Amino acid sequence: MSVAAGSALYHAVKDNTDIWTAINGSFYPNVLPEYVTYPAVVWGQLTDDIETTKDGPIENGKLFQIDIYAADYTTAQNIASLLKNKMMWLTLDVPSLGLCRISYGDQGDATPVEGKELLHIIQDYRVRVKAPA
Amino acid sequence: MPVIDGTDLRIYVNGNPIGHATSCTLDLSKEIRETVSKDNVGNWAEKEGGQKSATLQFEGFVTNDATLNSVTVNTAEDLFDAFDSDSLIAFAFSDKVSTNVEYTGNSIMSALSFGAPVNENATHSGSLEVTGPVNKVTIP
Repeated sequence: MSVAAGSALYHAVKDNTDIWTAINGSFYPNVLPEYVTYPAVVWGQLTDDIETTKDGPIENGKLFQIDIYAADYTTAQNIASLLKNKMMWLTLDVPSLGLCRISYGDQGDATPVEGKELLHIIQDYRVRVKAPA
Repeated sequence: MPVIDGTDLRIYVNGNPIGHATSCTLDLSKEIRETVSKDNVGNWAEKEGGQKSATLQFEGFVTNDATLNSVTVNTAEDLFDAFDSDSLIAFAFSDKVSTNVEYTGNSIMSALSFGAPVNENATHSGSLEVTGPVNKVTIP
């Protein structure tokens, strides 16, 4: 389910020519591959926001983190801005998942990646499935 | 005998539980009147029980699903209909476990509130004022 909800992020990024070109298609789930061209972006699920009711648990969205890696700060900031502007508040229909809403949460500078001289920016997003397929 | 899990105690409105409820309470109260007479000359107040009353309160998430876990439940729309109705609403405060005790009676829905925060699940809450007695019944 987490990969499924994360596919909303994938489609949002993949379908945007400006972002896809800026990262040259380097958009990966969970782990940054060892041999990759930069800039690159990794997305992964942070938490599954579940609320408990007397009828069992219900979803309150899933929180995702996006990690942006680039050789210089300007490039990293540019990609972060593109992602933020696109997914600040985005409703999209994702194949086999349904109607989803992505909303931007927060952004911060992370510790540069040691040994690779890479700048690192982190963003948080929430994905809610509004109407399952 | 273990303590009853609060998850299982529910308010039943017209025979069905409130869907996606998160909390419910049954508040019972009794008016107390002070009895003063010429035969009561001590320093201690004496009191007698007066009128009893009860209120039920509930909270939960808004759902339009009339069936949850194969059980028919009250939806947000059902709650509004109960509020809008002039008829008395049969209630039960029960875990529906055989041989346990449940509390039943009639009520009027005196308050119903829907909350819709941005990017969060929509919520409801409300109150039922009991009219007449609260009956203690052993669940068959």
